[in-house]
Amino acid sequence: MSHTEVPADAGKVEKELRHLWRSEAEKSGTGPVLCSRTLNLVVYCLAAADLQAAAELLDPIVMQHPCRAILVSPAAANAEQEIHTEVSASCLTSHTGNRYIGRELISIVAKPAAQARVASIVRALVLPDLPVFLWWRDANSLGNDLFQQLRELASRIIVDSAGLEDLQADWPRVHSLFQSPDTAVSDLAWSRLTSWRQLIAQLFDGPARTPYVHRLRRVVVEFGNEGSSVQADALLLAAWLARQLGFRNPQPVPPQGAREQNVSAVWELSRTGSRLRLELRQGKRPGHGVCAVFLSCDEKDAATFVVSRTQDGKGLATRSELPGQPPLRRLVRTGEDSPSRLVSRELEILGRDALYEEVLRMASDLTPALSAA
Amino acid sequence: MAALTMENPLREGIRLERTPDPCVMVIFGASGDLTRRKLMPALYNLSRERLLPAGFSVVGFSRTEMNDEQFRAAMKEAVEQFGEQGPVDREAWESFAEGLFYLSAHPGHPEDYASLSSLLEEVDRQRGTNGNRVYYLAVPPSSFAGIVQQLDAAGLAQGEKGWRRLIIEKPFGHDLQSARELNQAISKVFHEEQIYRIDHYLGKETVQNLLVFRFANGIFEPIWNRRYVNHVQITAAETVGVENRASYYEESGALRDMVQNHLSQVLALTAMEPPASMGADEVRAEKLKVLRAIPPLVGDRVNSCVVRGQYGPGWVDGKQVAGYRSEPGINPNSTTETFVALKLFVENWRWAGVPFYLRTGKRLPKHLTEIVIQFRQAPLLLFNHTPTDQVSPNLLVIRIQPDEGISLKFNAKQPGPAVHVRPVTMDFRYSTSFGMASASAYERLLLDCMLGDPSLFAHRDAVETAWSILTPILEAWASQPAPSFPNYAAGSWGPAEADSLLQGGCCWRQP
Repeated sequence: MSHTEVPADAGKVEKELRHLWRSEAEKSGTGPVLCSRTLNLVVYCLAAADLQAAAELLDPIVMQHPCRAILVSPAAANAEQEIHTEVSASCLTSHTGNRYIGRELISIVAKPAAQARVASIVRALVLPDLPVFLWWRDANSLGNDLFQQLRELASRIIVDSAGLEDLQADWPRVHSLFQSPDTAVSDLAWSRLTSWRQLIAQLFDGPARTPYVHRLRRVVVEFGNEGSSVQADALLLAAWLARQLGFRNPQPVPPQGAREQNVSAVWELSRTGSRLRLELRQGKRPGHGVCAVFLSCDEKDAATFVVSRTQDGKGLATRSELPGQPPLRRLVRTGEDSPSRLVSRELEILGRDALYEEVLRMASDLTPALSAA
Repeated sequence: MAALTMENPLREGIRLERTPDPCVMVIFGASGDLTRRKLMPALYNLSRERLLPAGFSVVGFSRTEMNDEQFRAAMKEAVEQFGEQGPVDREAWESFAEGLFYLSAHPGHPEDYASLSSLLEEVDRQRGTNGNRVYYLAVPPSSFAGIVQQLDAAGLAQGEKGWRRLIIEKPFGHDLQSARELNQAISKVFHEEQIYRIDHYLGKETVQNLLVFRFANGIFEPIWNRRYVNHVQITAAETVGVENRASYYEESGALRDMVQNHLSQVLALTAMEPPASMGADEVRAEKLKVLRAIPPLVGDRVNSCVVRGQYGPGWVDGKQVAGYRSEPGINPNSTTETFVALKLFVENWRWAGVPFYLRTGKRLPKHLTEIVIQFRQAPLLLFNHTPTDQVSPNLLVIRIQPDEGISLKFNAKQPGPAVHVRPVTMDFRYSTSFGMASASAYERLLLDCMLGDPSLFAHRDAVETAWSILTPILEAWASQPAPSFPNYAAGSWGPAEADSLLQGGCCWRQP
């Protein structure tokens, strides 16, 4: 697919796109190209060098969600042009063999001085009557001027809080950004937890097993050994479990003794008549993200539940042991959580995710106790 | 505290799809074709998608001698052959297969049901399935009543612990009388809310989308009535012949095989009033009202409103094919219809006087199912370069299979100095607007049954009402001289008489 440089003007961009679709139709020899589009996707990239990587991530997304994609990125300091715009248009082949999945890509690279122009061009280019998703690929620049301008267009903002460099310092800032009642938020760190949450929930389905969920007294969330601080995925999963189990008022507990040397944070939470010990710890497994979750009831019940990532990273294994019953094991393939796959899933959701927002609040209550692992 | 134990608080949230309680699916006819081609690939796929609970288990019940390991190997082979999700992952399969068990048993032997009961208790103990059972009768209908009685005698149909559900496959009887007898035999053992009559058409995405299309859009419902609609066509065409179902089809024919269940359900969904809610009872009640508003065809109206046909030799999709009477296992003088077209009316306030044309057949030129709503013509044509009769009527075509989608045909001005009107279409295709593949109909329906949602299953009343519409036709045919079959060539759109059913200069849409 070739990219055509065009002046940074929405009218000229649209004209060039029409020209590209005509060329595409002539090339195909099958008459006019009929394309469906279901949304607009505005992608903010960290730097011009990130544009290519982002464009490659878009192909599988477009297969699921035919859309107009607008990539925006800050220009390098030594860039010649203040603002540089390229367009491309092509048909992709769907899973049924049809060619008519339209992919329109507009890239805008601008120096900081031209940012106000960027927002106005994007505003003119979004297709009317279709939702606008803003995928902000740099968690650490969330809240900057361009973000504030583009969020006004967006029906939903997609971020990845796992990219925050300092969770303890940044979390409250991120949380406050999404307090607005008009902004629906997708957090890829939360999206990565969907399979985990599904399998953990299934451990307690059915009248014979549900009672145990109310008797859980210890929760350990273990995350990978990449980096040296607590990871957002692990924090969100811990917050979700604590909230759903009905525990509140987290009180930090200082890690004690050699046994707890890898423990990053411990809290005790309370519910009427019972307490929960919640631990976040860095495990030995390489990589980023949640590796395992250990849940146990009080000693009287002696029931334990474990969900862990498989060695190849492409599945989750569960194991539950209930008193007087043989252990029940299961392995399911979840596939890799590639950014394309995660974003595709987020594009299916239009409304706000009330549960995520509640979990975000609980995670904010937990963050003051975070310390370097 | 008691209330606490009823709910799993981890289930909250929009992203966690519904998962049924841990349960066992007992498949009668587990070594048969349906299990291999449809049921096991669908169950494995549901498991892959994490839509089944950890303890979900299957007990195969069939006469074929096999042990658990052989059953698991056979099912793996079936999933590899008929599943559509690529190679089977070894570890994921092994985890799924731990829940597969097999009982080599005879459906008529009471002692085998005692063995089944013991096995189910053991599965409950090992896998936490808690007495929840789905009995899937993937066997010929003649065995339904016997199996149900045996389940009852063995105490397996009801129980204090867990729930029990029964899935049966069509045909639900071969006329009104036999349908009533079958329903009565089953209802002696299972309550209606436990019975799930599967009609895989209703599990298809576009059929479900029909309700969304009609009731989530404000622009269609106001014109969805006799004032704006000229007529409705529902076509279910197959290119295949009788395949390996000769003995079944000889007894059945197109009217019983397709119209009684699939087409009558699609008609009901097309014509029904908006339900009070999307709850199963409300939707099924509205569908039933439509069927009850269709006057049965009696007397001369059978001949004037119904056309039957049987294919002779011909060409389909570039291949020469034999006529029905020359197919293996078919009586050379068979009078079974392989094609039927009907003109029905829904006599209610919305549809009075609007014909609903239904047609279905084998060895037709294309494999497809579609609903066509033909709207009335504009009352006056102002464009003198195009005579009125050359202006195409507006058509809304809802394609159910394959290539699911919706298309609207309307008239537009052809570019140029003169006003020439030409028909154009606006197309919506599932495959291009939503890139993801839809779940198979069986996946959806099996999951719904396990979740206890009967919305997409046929209710007893609907089955019997559909039979009450069609049985007079069957009786009239039985009393008439043998038809002059074959009367259409394979690869054609059926007998020419089918065209004369349509009134007012209308014609069948050529898909």
